[in-house]
Amino acid sequence: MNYRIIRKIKNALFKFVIVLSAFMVLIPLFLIIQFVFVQGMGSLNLSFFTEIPKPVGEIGGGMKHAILGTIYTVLLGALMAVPIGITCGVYLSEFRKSKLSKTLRLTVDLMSGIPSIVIGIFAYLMVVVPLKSFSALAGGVALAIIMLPIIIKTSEEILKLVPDHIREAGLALGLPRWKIIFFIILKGSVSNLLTGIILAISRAAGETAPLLFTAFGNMYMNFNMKEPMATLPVQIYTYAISPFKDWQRQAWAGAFILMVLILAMNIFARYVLTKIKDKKGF
Amino acid sequence: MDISPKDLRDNILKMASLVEASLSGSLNLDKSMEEIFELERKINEFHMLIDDACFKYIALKSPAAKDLRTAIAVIKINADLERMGDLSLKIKRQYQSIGREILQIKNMALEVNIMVKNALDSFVRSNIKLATDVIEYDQEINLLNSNIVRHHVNLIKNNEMGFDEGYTIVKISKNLERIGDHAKNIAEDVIFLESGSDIRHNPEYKVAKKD
Amino acid sequence: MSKSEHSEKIILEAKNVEAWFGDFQAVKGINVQYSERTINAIIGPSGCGKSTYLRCLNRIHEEIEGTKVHGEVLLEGKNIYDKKIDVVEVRKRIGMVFQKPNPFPSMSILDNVVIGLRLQGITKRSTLMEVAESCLRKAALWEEVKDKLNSLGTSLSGGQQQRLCIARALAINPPVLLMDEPTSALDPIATAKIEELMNEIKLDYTVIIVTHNMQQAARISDYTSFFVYGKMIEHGLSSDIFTNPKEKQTEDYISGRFG
Repeated sequence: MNYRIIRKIKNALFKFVIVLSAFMVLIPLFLIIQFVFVQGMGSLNLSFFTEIPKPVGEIGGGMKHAILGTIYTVLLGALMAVPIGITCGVYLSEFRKSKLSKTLRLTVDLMSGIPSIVIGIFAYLMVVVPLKSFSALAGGVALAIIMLPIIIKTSEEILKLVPDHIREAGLALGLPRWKIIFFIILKGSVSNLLTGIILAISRAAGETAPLLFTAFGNMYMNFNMKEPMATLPVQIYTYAISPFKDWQRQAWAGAFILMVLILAMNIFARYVLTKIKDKKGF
Repeated sequence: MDISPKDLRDNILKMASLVEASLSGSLNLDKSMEEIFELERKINEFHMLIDDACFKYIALKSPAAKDLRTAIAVIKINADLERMGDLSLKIKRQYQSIGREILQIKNMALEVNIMVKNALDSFVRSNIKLATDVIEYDQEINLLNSNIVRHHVNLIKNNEMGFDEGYTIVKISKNLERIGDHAKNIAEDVIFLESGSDIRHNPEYKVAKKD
Repeated sequence: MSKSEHSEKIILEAKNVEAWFGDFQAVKGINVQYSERTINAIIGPSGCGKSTYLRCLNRIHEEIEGTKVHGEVLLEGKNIYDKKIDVVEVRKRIGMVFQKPNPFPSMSILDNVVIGLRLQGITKRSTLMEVAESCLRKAALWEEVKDKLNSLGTSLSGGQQQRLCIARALAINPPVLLMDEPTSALDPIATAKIEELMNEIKLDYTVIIVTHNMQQAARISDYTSFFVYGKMIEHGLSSDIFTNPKEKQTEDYISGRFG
């Protein structure tokens, strides 16, 4: 009888320790969200979304240009990274044992370990210097390089999940390999791939360092790829270290919006897409 | 291969109608020997065909339960029918050699015909009661046979009939009685097929209550 | 008595077919002819090269790394291993159904059936619907799925999925259909349904089926081959093989006395 009670106490204690550890992970996240929310929410107003910065010293203005700039550069980066990334993912999953595959995998692993600021410098050398100007294009390139390893790895994993007997079934129907890959395997993994892409995008959207040397930043609206462009992270940084209280306030708002954006993308990718996949099967 | 129990049954019935024709032709002085020969030839063909079909059916289709009993029953009925055909031919030869109608023989043949018909009917209609009746009726046939034999032995003893003729009539009667036996066998096989019970060699047979 | 009403025209012929996995020779010199519109079973103990041989007939074996195939396989007189022939075209004429049902995931029942045609360039909806209905009927699946053609292929039961795969293979209209133990992953009722539809399929297609179930081979096939360790010991009419085989090895296997 005694042993039973002792066991129950031990179980309860262990459970307590585990739950406590879980909370220790959750608490910082919630604190950050709550803090940014409180600071940022108060500074949010319509003009934040609809106006570009006012001249230095003047109160007001917004980050419309930075929000659009982030979307622009991230999409630009995605446009470059997604096709290359998925193609590499396809190659790695279809030709697993070739020398090229082994080299490629090693390269991808190394790539994902490069500090983002170093990637920024690389993009600076490759794009900014030849074009003799900071540009959104350079920013896109830098973000693409950041996104590439994530997309390649997830694509490869997702495609490897498709069992071999599906490929065999395709071959047995008299279909050439490329049609099998494109119309059957890829088509069947759309939502998984989309998830991977969105996670890569959400990672890139929050990068600041690489954009410092590439897109650089801009106080005005710009849609020209070859010219510097404002992005949310860089704009936040610029405003946060400035001496102007109004700008600092706007920095909080920007941080809040950036955080919401990235959280939303993550939630969408992980939960909404999986639900759609379960219902529709792709 | 596409043999089914129905195919086996159909073939038995085709063979049976040939046997019945042979039987009635054997005691019909208007039918020629050649006609009975021709029937006998066809009966033998069926005999081989049906055995082969049953063999292949069992080997290829691995039948169970009623299907298996059907195949086995068909093999046995096949054998009985073939013997009946042989006996018919013998009777034909014997009756032709006498050359005239013998009333007692004709009566007995009528009864045997009915018995054979009922046995085959019980097979077609899967009717245990009918089969049981056939088995009981065999005793009547045996009695008819005894009477004919006794009667004609006496005729011979009393010199009222020539030995050759009398003896031939006795032989015909015996052969008819044998045909009755085969019909009884068929009925026993039908009971086995329908109920799964083997009621042979059982003076007081208990039959499954299926009607 | 029903006689097999198949023609005697030879549609597929294996000439000294040999196959290797690396250094291991799994198939050792097979010579056999297959008549049009017949069901041909291949039986034998496990691991004796039956499936490997089958996969040589539609050139799927060579898709595995390190494999080799020698010999000729003549489809309507032409060698499918000829260097000038496109292997993809070969597989359009020799279809295959596998042991484990493998409908394409994330595709509807209808899409599954017609994907082979669609990816060949046939996109007219009415044509595709016709083919789909006809093949699903042949696969004895139409009645069960006609009201849910747009639901996922993978939402069907195992037996239904396998019939879907059969319909999918039939849709591209191959004169020869290879089946690699198609019912071994299914329950007895699903198995019986598929055996039934084989009799229908036989009217239009030639079937070569590998099965480890002897009774199945006896029930459905016109001809049977007996394989042991990559060699074909005997080949003949099923009604002969199962009643009076010529080789003692065959007899031992059929009587259950083999290893």
